[in-house]
Amino acid sequence: MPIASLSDRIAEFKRRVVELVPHGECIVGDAPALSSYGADGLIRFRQTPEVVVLAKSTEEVRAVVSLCAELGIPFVGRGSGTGLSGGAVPPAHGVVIAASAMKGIVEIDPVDRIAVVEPGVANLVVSERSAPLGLYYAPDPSSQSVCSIGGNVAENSGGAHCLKYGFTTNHVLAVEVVLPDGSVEVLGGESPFEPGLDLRSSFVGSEGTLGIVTKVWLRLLSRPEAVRTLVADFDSVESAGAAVSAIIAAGIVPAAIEMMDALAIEACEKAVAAGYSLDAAAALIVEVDGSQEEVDALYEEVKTACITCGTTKIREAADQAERSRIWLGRKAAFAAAGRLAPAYIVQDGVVPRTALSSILGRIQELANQVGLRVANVFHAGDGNLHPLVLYNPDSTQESEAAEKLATEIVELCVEIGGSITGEHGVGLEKACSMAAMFDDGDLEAMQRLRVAFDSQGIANPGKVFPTPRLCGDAPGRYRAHALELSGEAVRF
Amino acid sequence: MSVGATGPERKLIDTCVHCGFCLPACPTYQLSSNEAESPRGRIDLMRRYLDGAIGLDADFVAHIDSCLGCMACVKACPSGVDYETLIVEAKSMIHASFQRPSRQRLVRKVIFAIMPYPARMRPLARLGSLSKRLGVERIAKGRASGGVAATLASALALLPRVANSAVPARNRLYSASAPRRGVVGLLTGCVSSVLFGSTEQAAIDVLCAEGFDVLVPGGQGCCGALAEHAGEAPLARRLAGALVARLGREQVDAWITTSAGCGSTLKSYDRLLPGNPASREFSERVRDIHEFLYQQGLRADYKPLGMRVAYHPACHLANAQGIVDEPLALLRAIPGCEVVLPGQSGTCCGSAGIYNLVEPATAQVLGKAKASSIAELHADVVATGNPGCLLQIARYSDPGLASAHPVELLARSLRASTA
Repeated sequence: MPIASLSDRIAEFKRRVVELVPHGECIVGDAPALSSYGADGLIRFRQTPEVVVLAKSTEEVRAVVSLCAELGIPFVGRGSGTGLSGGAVPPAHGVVIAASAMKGIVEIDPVDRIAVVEPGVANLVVSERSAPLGLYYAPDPSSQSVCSIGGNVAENSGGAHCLKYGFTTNHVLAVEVVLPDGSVEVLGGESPFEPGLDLRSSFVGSEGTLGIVTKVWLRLLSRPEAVRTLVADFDSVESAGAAVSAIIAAGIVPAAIEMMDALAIEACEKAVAAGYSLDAAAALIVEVDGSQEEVDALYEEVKTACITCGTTKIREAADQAERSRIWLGRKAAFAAAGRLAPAYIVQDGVVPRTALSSILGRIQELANQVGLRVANVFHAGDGNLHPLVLYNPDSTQESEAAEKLATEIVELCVEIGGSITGEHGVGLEKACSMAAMFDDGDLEAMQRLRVAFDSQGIANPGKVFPTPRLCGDAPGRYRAHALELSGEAVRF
Repeated sequence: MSVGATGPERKLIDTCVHCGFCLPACPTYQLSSNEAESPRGRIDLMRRYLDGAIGLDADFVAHIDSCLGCMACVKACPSGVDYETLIVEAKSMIHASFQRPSRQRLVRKVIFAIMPYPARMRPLARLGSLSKRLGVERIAKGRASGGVAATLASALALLPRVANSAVPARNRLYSASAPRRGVVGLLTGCVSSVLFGSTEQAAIDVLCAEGFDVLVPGGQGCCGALAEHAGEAPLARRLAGALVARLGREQVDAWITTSAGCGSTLKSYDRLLPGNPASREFSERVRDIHEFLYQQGLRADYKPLGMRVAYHPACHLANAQGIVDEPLALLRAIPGCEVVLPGQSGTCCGSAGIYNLVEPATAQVLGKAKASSIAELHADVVATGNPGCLLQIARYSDPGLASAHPVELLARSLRASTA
């Protein structure tokens, strides 16, 4: 078969795709709508897709992916478009396959505690629908009211309560996926142990590079009998950090420990008036859950640890409404930063918990050097920090300084033994930082796994792995890698 | 800032950080699952238009037109984006710079030649109700493939079978019937004064019983809300200017409106008539009736009514004006009155100004959904503080379900006390 030009293949794709999607919708000629799919939650990266498919079923996703495979057209899956690493930014000349119209809950099994859901369903909806059965879905990203389960699977999303309960991968029993060659497979199973290689684990967190998820079997948990939540103020970030260490050292695993610095407190308070103290240098939100007896005992221990470390004020949530208010404030933090500055970059790094207070000092130094402000919110319990670098986008100089500072911060995390991402994924944004964390051998091993799923390189190309074009390597004639020469890997 | 043909302001657009928290709140996104039919998507369209990346074409206009203006997204937004101003600016830009197809132009022309003018609306509404009783509605529906015929069919379907048009006398000061607490003016509006004379009467009765003199000036026109929300900024400015000129010199403590849609515009005349001290001073005195009665505190003797009331929070009350608890508190002040809210109570009913006339398909889906969630409550009456919502909900509900403005229930409870 003669190889048609890219534009011919795209034209053919546009002609044929419409009939493959009888129940969903294909956006082909509507330029404004196509443009609106150019970016996800990270608006700095943008690429308008050629076609957007709002699929209604696995069959429609399968048919569209098969056509992509046949014509060699790259595609990306998209949930609610709330990702913060550019993971759902369409590839150039690519197709968006959106799960937003596949938002059904297929089944909730209260005995085995399993929810079977379509990928477009919002994270929080799973918990809301399981609530009458006394169950809930534990991973709780801050965007849980919006973000989709399909997106959570792609990013292996975390959240405040992952300290105790683990990440998405700990709660996904199985996934039905459409692989990049158009085949439909179920990875994993309903039983907790599956023999053989654990492909489910490879798929969760693969950021769309191995295929598109079309159905998910989720593990549900019983609602804890009791929950107690406190906000403890501190007059320095160091003493708040010391309190975190003291709580963990006491052998307590709280449901969540969140830290906010003064700037973050100000932003959240402006957005939702959660009742945080505006004069505190740092605040911890600590939540303990379990049986009433256990919770009461743990709560006292947490309180003691905070007092020992010099808390200036402790406020306990009196009821569910106050607890919701406290969490609403914390969960609005990113978007609320928009109230402090016209633009900001959310960073997502991990450091050893013991390094929390020292890295804050280092971040402050780096920020002072370039005259920028940084607000900090963290999942302190697992050392996952989210510095928010505030800047004015009208100034090119300031924008560049902010990007540079954001990169310096994550690379600093790696330097002190941490990671470039705790839960937002690598996507487009961090692809170039992968080399700071992994050596060539590591990256090659990952690439081999990826090629095993996607020999053509059409599933979300340009993400996760550093590429010369993306990362501005020295120009020059392309030199094939040893793996390419041996036929084990393909260059995308 | 001024609403005009210049388009949405970059500064306001930039406050949107694209987080997507608005998506679950937006009725059109929930129905279409299409990013371009969401607040975030629409703001992105405005941004891309200002960047020169996309043009002002029919697709762009369709995505902006489809916005109900319900402002549920404003409540959901952590960044405090002023979506209300943005969408009004985008709609005004379309009005000023986009040539709509002739059918759409004609439909809008007819709507805005009639609805804002009670003297034109009243005879037509009577004729409409009469023709409805004669079965003309079915004929119009049969021919409604689009354009004016479809709009006419929608308009007829919305009209009550019996026009409720006994309007309280104008140019009168109704005296307080309890120890005097002040003097207020009643804003009579346009559609409301033609179709909901009973709401006006109830407002007067309750305010008088609460100790307020009520001035009802004649010669009031439309406040401009319908036009503003549809992007017809020049007409909205003209109407708002005329109303301020007519009422600006009256000495009242507050101007009371019973219409949520009108209230949200009346309170922000600064947007329509920037730099006009008289309009700002007028706007500052405008109060929704729920807000006013709640702030002042009820003192009159409300007698038991013994009914189950389904309360529908009008978007322009709950979202645009932040008046959420006040109507519930007032209704619960009536002894024996049980107040219940439908599921998804924050979702728009599809009325949305002229929306159910120009976007009938989406309006119908929302109207039916709202009516069925209300029906599940098995209430005796559905109450809501906006005339458009009352018409829309009644249209899709069982004819046996009564509907009323909350102030009418307060008035009924008062009458029970004097009977």
